[in-house]
Amino acid sequence: MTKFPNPSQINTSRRNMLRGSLIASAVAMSGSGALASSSQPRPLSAPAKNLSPDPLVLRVQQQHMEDATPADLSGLERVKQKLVRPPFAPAHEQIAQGGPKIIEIEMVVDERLMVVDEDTGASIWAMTYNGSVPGPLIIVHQDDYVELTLKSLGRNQLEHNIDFHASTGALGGGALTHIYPGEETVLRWKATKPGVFTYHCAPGGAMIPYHVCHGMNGAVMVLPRDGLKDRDGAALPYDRIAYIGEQDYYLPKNPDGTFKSYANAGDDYAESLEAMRTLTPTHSVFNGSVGALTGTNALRAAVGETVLMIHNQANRDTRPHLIGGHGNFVWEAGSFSDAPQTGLETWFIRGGSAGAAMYTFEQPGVYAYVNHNLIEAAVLGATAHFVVDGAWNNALMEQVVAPRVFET
Amino acid sequence: MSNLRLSRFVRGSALVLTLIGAAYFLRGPAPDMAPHIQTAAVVLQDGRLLHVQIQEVTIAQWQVCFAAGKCALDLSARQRDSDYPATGLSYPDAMAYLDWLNSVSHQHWRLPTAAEWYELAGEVLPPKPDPIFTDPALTWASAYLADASRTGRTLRPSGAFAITAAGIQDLNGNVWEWTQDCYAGSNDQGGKIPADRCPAFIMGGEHEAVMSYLVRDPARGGCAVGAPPAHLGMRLVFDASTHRR
Repeated sequence: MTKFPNPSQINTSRRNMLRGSLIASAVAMSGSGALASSSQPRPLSAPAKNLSPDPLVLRVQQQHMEDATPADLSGLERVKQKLVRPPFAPAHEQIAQGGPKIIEIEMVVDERLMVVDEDTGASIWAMTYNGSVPGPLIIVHQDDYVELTLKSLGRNQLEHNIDFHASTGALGGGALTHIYPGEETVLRWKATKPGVFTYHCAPGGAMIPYHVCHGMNGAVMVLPRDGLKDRDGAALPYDRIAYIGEQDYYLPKNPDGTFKSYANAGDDYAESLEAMRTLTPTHSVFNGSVGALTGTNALRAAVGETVLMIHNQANRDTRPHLIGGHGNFVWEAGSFSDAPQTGLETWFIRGGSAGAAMYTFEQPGVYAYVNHNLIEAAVLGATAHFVVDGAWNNALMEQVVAPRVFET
Repeated sequence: MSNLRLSRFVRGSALVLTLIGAAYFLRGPAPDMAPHIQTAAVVLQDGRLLHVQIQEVTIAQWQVCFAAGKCALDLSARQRDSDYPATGLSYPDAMAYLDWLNSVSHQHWRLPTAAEWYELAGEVLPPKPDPIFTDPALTWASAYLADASRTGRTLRPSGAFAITAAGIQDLNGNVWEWTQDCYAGSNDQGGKIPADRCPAFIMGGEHEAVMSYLVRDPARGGCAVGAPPAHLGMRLVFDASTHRR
């Protein structure tokens, strides 16, 4: 039986025009005037491999979806979750009350000019979910449903979507959520696997790393319904969450070494791809910019408090380390189905994943939380600070002899 | 790079007087070579007369030294319509500029001492924040600056920050200035170390800081506790008695 393509399929071919090296003409077509400031023709990069399947495959998939039995979710309670800005976590229960629920969330795609490093004036037209890099942390329990309303501001320039690594099917939802400026879409997916997972924009081809390296990623935490456990099944509650998104940026430079600035989102596309090809980031930062989690914005805790540090890196490997502390319980690859490792000094977060580490502070003072490639920590920006209140414990550490001149 | 207390330095409203008008121009023996540097004369508390650069050495002034082949760092990429302080300077960079300037001008220029610097700047510096920890065991962390971004970290043109009664500009703001004082360390060793063997110098700036002599960019991060200085620059002085005619 032949089916006529529905309107969303017709749009698919139009949307393909936005992908890869065709972005320049597509932006011009949209009437944004984005290219008006640039009189020279932009060099086109080599066409990037399109990671999305061809339209025929998508059409078959659409048929399967239309033939599928509707899910009966009528008995499930609906709960709205108000998402908050990183490094904070939305209000949630660690142990689920009652049966699975439908958790309704809303995210608004916002392309905005953000300062990456005040010291040099480096900036980027970030692509954000809800205006922040990383996007907000979403927290649900296993077997809950996430029902996302994804909107794109009318002033945006580009096409966006979202791929949840925690979800199952349709490229993580990416194939069902392509939206243009001024559009919205709703996606519902079941959280079958407990753990912390990356989500990110994946519009197709080279647009995927372009969007991800412009900040368009974040994390979902799917808690086991009865909360976190150690390897023996003992409960591991936490007092607070520190949600850290590490972002590698590849900012184009002028011949004299200063960073370029652009008038509109998307204007940096060709030059960004050239910078990304080096695989050498100009910046690697926590929560969007250098110093976003230090000084006034340092993370806070107290001796005796247990902090769950969720670390998301959607693109590139990293190795968090808490200077002066440890990872007491670490879900390095993010899966809460596995028992946590214990007593780690440094843990590895694979690019394209999130991980979680739990620590109970034992000493007051200042802790640096870094990517322990120390070049990235000290020079590229990947440093956060915890300021911890409490009483010093000399049994753990004491300065026996202050620095002094030794006898020669 | 830790932020250390320099409580021995006199703060508050220093006794400063402006003599012979607010400023005058200096010209060296090779007018094409020596940049025009505005200074103000200030009487210090101990009665000495000190001529102080009104602004930090600017990019335009620095580039004269670069063009002369005496300063290695090329700041031309950062030249703008309005002049900015020359930043990204290590202690050896500052010494190179100083040596060159002394070779082309009438004056015997030098870096200020830390005591001179903090006396000059006292009236425009923000109040010292309360330490965030009072436990003696946490002295190492007590200087963490939770509110260090008073003037932001973005560079601004010369003259954008405060001006003292004596007419000295930008002693506050986000450029920290090299002083000639070697950091004494916990055993007061620094005072005995010759400048060319000193590992770290006291910086003049909004909060007290010590910087390794090699650092040009005190990048935020790593093990550094708190917010290090945003930018490193320099300001020169000369003593009235050294004026060569």
